[in-house]
Amino acid sequence: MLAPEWLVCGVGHRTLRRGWAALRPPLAPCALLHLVDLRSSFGHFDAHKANRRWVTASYAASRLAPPRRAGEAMAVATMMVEEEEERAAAATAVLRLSPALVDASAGLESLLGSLRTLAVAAAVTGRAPVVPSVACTAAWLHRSAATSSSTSPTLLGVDDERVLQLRDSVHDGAGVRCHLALGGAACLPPLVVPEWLVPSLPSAPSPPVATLRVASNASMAASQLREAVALLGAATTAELSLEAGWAQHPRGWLEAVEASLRPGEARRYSRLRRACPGYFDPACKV
Amino acid sequence: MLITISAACCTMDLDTRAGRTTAAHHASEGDRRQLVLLTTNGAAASVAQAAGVAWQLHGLGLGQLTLVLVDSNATCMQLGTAWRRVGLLAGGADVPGCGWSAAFVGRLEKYYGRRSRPTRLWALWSAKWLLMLRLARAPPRGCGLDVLALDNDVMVLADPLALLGSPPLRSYSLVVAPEAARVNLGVVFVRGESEAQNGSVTGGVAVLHELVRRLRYFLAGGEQVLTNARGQAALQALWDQGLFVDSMLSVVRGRRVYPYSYLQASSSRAWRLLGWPPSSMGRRQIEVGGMVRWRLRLGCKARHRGTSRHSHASAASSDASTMRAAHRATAAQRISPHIPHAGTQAALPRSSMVGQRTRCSPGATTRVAWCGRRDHRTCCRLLATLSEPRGRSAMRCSPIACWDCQTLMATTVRRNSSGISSKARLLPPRTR
Repeated sequence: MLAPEWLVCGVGHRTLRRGWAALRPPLAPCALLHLVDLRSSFGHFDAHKANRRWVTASYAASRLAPPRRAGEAMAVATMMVEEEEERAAAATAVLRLSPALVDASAGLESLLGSLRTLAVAAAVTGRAPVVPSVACTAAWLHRSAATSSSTSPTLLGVDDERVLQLRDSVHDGAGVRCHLALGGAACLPPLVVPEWLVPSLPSAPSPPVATLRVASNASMAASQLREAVALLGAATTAELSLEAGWAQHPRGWLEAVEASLRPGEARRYSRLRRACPGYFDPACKV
Repeated sequence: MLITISAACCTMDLDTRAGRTTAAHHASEGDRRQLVLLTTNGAAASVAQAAGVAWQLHGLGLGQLTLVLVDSNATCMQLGTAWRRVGLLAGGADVPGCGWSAAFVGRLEKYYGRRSRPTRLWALWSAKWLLMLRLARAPPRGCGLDVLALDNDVMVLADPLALLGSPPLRSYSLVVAPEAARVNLGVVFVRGESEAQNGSVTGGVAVLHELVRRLRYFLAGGEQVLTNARGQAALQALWDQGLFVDSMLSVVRGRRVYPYSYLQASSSRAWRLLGWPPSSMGRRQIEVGGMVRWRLRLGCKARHRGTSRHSHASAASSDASTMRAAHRATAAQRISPHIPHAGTQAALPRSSMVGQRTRCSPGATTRVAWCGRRDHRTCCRLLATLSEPRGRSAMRCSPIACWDCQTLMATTVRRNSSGISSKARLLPPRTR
């Protein structure tokens, strides 16, 4: 017989948009969720089958989120990374955006700007950028009329393929966080590290032990980042912040910083852009 | 640290009877004769994903019933490394629940180069169906295993074996997922034979038997190799998903049909040997005949009244007579109410509890059932309109709510039903 939908559901993109991956029994939509037609990705770039690994690993991390099992969550999630050395590298030095740069009230353009800045800083410092989670109340996220309900706190009405809705038991034990979907077919650890993995990194402190500040002056920004590398030392996680909000930055600031990268830095930056085109797509529409 | 995945004590050569016996022995401990079969080749990403699915099964208490089919003993070792990484296996312990098969290695080379990736991968997929068949068939004085085969991109959210062993699914010998007019083999369940069938095969086992028979036939070489118009071997014609549909339709209709394979390699000489298609059958007829027409029938009225007057099931076939036979068979057999087994209730949404939330009224039946073929959002809105004040039901809505108002459907092969299974018996077991 044909499997009923409560046994097998295969509409992956809808599953993610509903936040099903965030749910556990008794709210699971079906027993076997088949990701065969999964389309979740950030932007219109085809993530191919890599998005399945991204989603299953995120789900694994989410399910195992209670801190007492953080080590196990880490182990499952890092199965995405195949080489021991690379996994070790990904686990030891990451750079993430400060919460202020992932402002829920700002638009998608601001988020993309922050991601580009993060990539530049990561390329200069030689660290892996952390693909951030965003508040599910972010202004640029699509909402669904069917799920927009004040009585539905778990789904928050989010109906957007560019995020995965995951339980957030690490931070507050009950809520849901929206994590960016895969940015491209090769946008995987250790090149980038997803936010849902960071809290479970061994000995990862929270808040981070070091903060990088980027000046509004483009000519200073890159050199400032280079100088900060020594300050970061062996800190596991570092945070990136800007001296001023995006609105205060002069037009073309980011392009000027990119232009000032040295060859080695430019190569690392270019590699990130090629691997994660979804996070750099200027034409990305809400 | 405990070894928590162990369909068997150690790695097994599943091409041998001893290896399969070992797997079956461990899977049949206690009352359960069930096994979850995963498949992976040696690619690191695939191994990691298989280990991830095994880990999910372990979380549901199904680790003991998990068997991973791989292409070689070396891949079992890789899998062991992945399991150790997630804490499912102690450091120095043997790798449990892993076995390899090379049953089709070397046979697909007629279709592709020896070292090509498709050849090796398709050989492994083919081995999966052979292994499933062998496990599900009843040995002398014994029972076959219920086997659930999962792809590695499946997320296991609730215990599927409990659901498959409970009404209404426990009446079915084969459960597959639909994909338009075909099936998707990412999830396949076949119920094991309860006793040796004296050479005949019925139910879901018959479909596997027919699938393996085709594989062996088309891989025999010579004029039996499927070729395209340029005379080149057509590997696509052996795609297991296509072969499975052809096999399923053959079992349902009680006569062998080859629409998928034929359309992929219509100029092959193999068709002359097989005498198919009949000269009266045009290409269009073959195309249409190769589609699985999943038929939905409404079930709300019957379920609420608790009678069998309204059939809940329908056949998956384009053959009208077979369809009628299926209806007769299912109408004669009372359909179990759509209530999950008590032990599985925690794994399902509240909305799945037999219309308690959906409350299908006779007038609403058509619309609700119709929405099941629409998108989920439409379904939710309809349900909100039909059954409860807007807002509350939308919040709780899930596909299960939609399906509550539908019947379970499409009996392609129904265990112990006289109509279909008797036709399945018409297929001689040539390949054993």
